Amino acid sequence: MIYAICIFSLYLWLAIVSARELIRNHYHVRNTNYDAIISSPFAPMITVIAPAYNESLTIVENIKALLALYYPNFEIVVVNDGSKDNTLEKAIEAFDLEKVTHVVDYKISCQEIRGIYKSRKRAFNNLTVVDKFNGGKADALNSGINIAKGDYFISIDVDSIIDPYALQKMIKPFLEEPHRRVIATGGVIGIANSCKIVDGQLIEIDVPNNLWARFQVIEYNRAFLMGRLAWSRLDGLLLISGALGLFDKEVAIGCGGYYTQTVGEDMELVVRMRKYMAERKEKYKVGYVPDPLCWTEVPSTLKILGRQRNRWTRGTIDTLFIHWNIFLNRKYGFMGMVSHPFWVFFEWFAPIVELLGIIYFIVIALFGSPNWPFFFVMLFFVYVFSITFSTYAILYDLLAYNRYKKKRMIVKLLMTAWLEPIIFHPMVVYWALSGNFDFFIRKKKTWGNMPRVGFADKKKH
Amino acid sequence: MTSIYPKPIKLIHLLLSICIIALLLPLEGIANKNTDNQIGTSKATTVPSSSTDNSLLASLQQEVIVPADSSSSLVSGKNETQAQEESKSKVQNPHNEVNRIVLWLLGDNNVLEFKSRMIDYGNNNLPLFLRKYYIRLIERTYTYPIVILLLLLIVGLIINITLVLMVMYFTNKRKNHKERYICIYRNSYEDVLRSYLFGEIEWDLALLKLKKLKKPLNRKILTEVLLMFKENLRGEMDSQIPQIFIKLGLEKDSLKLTKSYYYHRRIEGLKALTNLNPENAKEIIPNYLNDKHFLVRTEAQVSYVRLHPENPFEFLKTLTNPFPRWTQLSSFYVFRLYQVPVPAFVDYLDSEIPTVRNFSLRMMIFFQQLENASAIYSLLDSPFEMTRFLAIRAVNDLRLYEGKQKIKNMFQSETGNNKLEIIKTLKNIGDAEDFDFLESIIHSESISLKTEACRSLYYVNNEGRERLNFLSQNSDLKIDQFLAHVTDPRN
Repeated sequence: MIYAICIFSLYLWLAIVSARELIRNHYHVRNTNYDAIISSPFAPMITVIAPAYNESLTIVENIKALLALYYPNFEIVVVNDGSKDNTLEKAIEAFDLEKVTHVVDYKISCQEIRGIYKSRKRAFNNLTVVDKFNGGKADALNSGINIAKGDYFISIDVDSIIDPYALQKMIKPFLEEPHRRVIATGGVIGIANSCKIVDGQLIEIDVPNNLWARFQVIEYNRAFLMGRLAWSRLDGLLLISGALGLFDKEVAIGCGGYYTQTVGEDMELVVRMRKYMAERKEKYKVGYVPDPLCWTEVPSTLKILGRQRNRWTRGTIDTLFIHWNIFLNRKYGFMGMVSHPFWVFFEWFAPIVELLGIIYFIVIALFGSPNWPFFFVMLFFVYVFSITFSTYAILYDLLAYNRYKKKRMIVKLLMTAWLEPIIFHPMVVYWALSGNFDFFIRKKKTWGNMPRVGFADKKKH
Repeated sequence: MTSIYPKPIKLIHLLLSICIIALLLPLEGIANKNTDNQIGTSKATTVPSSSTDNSLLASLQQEVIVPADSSSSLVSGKNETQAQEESKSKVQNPHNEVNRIVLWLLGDNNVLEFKSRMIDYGNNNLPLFLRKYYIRLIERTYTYPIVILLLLLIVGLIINITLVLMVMYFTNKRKNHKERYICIYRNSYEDVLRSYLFGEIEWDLALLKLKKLKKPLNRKILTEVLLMFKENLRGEMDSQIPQIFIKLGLEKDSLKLTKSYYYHRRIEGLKALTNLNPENAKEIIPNYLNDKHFLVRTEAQVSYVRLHPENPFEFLKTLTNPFPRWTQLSSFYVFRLYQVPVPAFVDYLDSEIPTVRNFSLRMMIFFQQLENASAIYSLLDSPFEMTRFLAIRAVNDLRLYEGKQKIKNMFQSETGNNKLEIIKTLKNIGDAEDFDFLESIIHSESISLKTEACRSLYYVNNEGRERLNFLSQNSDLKIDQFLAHVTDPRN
C-alpha cells in the first residue's frame, strides 16, 4: 500500500514539475533567436555519429537527411558496424566515397577499424564513413568518438528522422549555462510510424494505425513530457535516449566512452559521466530540450516489442548494478539520493512488486475470502488513475507542440489511453519480468534481432 | 521469444491485468476476516471514550436491514461492552489505523449519515428481493471506509479526465479562434499602414481604419506589424514607423511591459522599444543589463550593441554576471547585422569576468586586431584553460611570433587540448629552430599530438618535410601513415 501511494505521489509530483517546465520552455523558445547561431562563425563543431548495422535499405536516404541538418559547423560520421548486407557498398556508391589513410587515435578502445571513407565530392566534405568489425552499437559509437573532430558529439540511430533544427536546439543548453558545465542534452523522441516521410524528412505527422505503436505514443508522451522533463528540471536525469543525445566529447572520453558490455549503453554513459563529474567535484548539468527533435519507428509487433522491452529492462538493471555505489550515497548529490533509488524502487522493482501482488492475490483468492467490493473499487481506481495520467500526457503534448492537429487523432489517442492499462501494461510488465529472468538466470547480454520496416521501404507501398 | 516462454502470453496477460490492484491489496486478506469489527477495534485501541466511535461501531455492526428512520438505530445496536470484547481480539490489526485515518479525513459522522441515507434510499425505493443484496453491499462497503475514499478519488479522477478533455477541446477551439483573429487583424493593419506609408491615405483616415485599438491584443498585433515593417522597410518609411508607434501610444504599452514581473513580457517590451523607440530604449536598457533572468539580460545586451554604435560593448565593463557563449553569439550576430563599427576589444581583456575576456579574445582574433597584441601574452598565464586556449589561438591566428617561445615553454604543463593548439600554432609561426621540439613530440605516445606534430613539421617548410622523410626512413614510427593522413586535406 505504501509502495503504491509512493509511486502514485511521485508520478503526480513529476507531472506537476513537468507542467511548470513546459510553460517555462514555451516562453524560452519564443524569446530565442536561433539565427544567431546559424550564421555564426563561432558555432561549436558537432560530430553526428550514426552507427549502422544492416541498414542497406535506408542508409542512403538517412545520410542524405543528416547532410540536410541546419547547422553551420558539423560533420557526420557513419559507422558501419560490420554489416552483413551491402550497407557500405550502397553508401560508397551514392556518395562517391574512397578509402583514405587516416591515423586513428584510439582514445577509447573499440573493435579494429577496417577503413575510413571520404567523398571525392566537395558537397559531402563533412561526411566520413567508418568501416569496422562488428562490436555492437556501443562499440560503433566509441569508434565514432575516436574519429570525431567536434568538441561535442551527437549519437543517433541512423534509421531515425532527425529534425533539421535539432543541432542548434540541442547545443543551446551547452552555450547558455554560465555556472555549470553541461555534459549532455537529450530531446523528445517522436513516433514516426504512419507519418509521411519524404527523402528522409518528416512531412506529415499522424497517429500510428498499429495499436501497439499507438500504445507507445502514449507511453513515450508520458515518459518524455511527464518524466524526463521533470527529472531534468530537478537535475536528476539519468537516461538520454540512444536515438538522440548530444554529449561533451571531452567528458565522454574522460570517463571511458560507451561501455560495450551492457545493452543499456545510453543510460550507462549518462550515469558514468555524471559520476565522473561528481568525483572530480566539478559543477555540471544534464540538459534536456523538450522539443520533438527525433522521430523513430517503434516496434509494431509483439515479438519485436517484447525483445526491445526485455533489453531495456536488462540494460536498466545492469546500469543500476554497475553503479551500485551511487545508491543513497550523498557524495553523488541528487543522483545518489533520489534518482538512482527511484530507478531501483520504481523502475526496476515495479514489475516485481506487481508480480508479488498477483501471487499474493491468488493465494488470498484460493485460501481466503477476498473482499471483492474492495478489490473492484481498487481495480477501478488504479485504472482511472492510469487513464488520467495518460490523458494529461496527451494534453501536455497538445498544449506544448500541437503535433496531432486533427480531432480524430486526439480521439484515437484518448481511446488508446483507455485500452492501454488493460492490454499494453500487462504486456510491459511481463516483458520486464522476462528481462529480469534473462538478466539474473540466463545471464543474457545480447541485443536480439530488431528488424525494422524502414521508412524508405514504406514509401514504395 | 525464447523456449522458456512458449506461448504464455494469453494466460499471463489475464493475470497481469489484475496485478496493479493486487499490489494494493495487503489490506484485504486479514481484513476480510474482521469485517464486522474494524471500527470497533480502532476505538478499542486508541480512543476509549469516544461517543462518536461508539455510534459508528454500533452502526457498522448491524446485520439486519435498518428501519426507514435509520438515524435512531445508530445509537442502538450492540452495547459497548460487547464491542470492546470483540475489538480486543483484533487490537493488533494494522488496518484499523487506515480506517481511522479515512474516518478522520472524511468525518465519521458524515460517513454514517451518508450510509444511513443510502440505506433509507434502498428501503424506500428498491424492490424487496433486491434490498437484501443492496444492504449487504452497503454494509460491506462501509466496513472499510477506505473504499469511500477510493470511490471519492475515482469520482475526482473522472471529473479530472472530463475537465482535461474539456480543456483540450476549448483550448483547441480558442487557439484556432485566436489564430484566425490575429490573422484577420494583422492583414487589416498591414493594409492600412502600407497605404499610409506609401502615401495613399492620410493619417486621420488611417487612424479611422485601424479598428479596435483599445484592445490589448490588437495593440500587441499592431506592435508586431510595426516591428515587421521596421525590419523590412528602408528609407523614408523607415523613419515614419517609430512615429506611428509613438502617435498610437504603443510605446507606453511597451514601457509598461518592461516593468512586468514576467520575464517574457520584459523581453517583449525591450524588443519593441529597441526597434521602434530607440531613444527611449537607450535610457532604460542599462537597467536590464544585469537583470536576474538570463534571457532578459541577453535581450538587453543585444539591444545595447544595436543602440550604441559608437561603443557597442561598453556594457561589458558594467557586467556583474558571466557573459555566456549564447549571449556572445547573439551580440556578435546583431553587431554584424547592423554593421556597427568594430571597437578595440583589448579594452575588455582585463575584465574580471573570464567569459568577457574569452569573448574579447575571440573578437580580437576574428577582427585581426594586431595593434594591441601584447596584451594577449598576459592571458597565456590565466588560470582558466579556455582563456589560455584562446590566447594560444590568438598567438597563432594573429601570427604573434614573440609569443612562440612562451607557448613552447608552457607545453609540458598544459592540458591535451592546449598542447594540440600549441603544436598547431607552430605550423604557422614555427621555423627550423622548432624542429627538435616537434620531433620530440613525434616520439611521444599520444597519437593526436604526433599527428599534429607531423602536420606542423610538414607544413613549416621544405626542411621540415626532409626531416620527416629522414625520420620515416630511420625509425619505426610509421611516419608514412601520418604523412598520408596529414597531406590529405579532408582529414
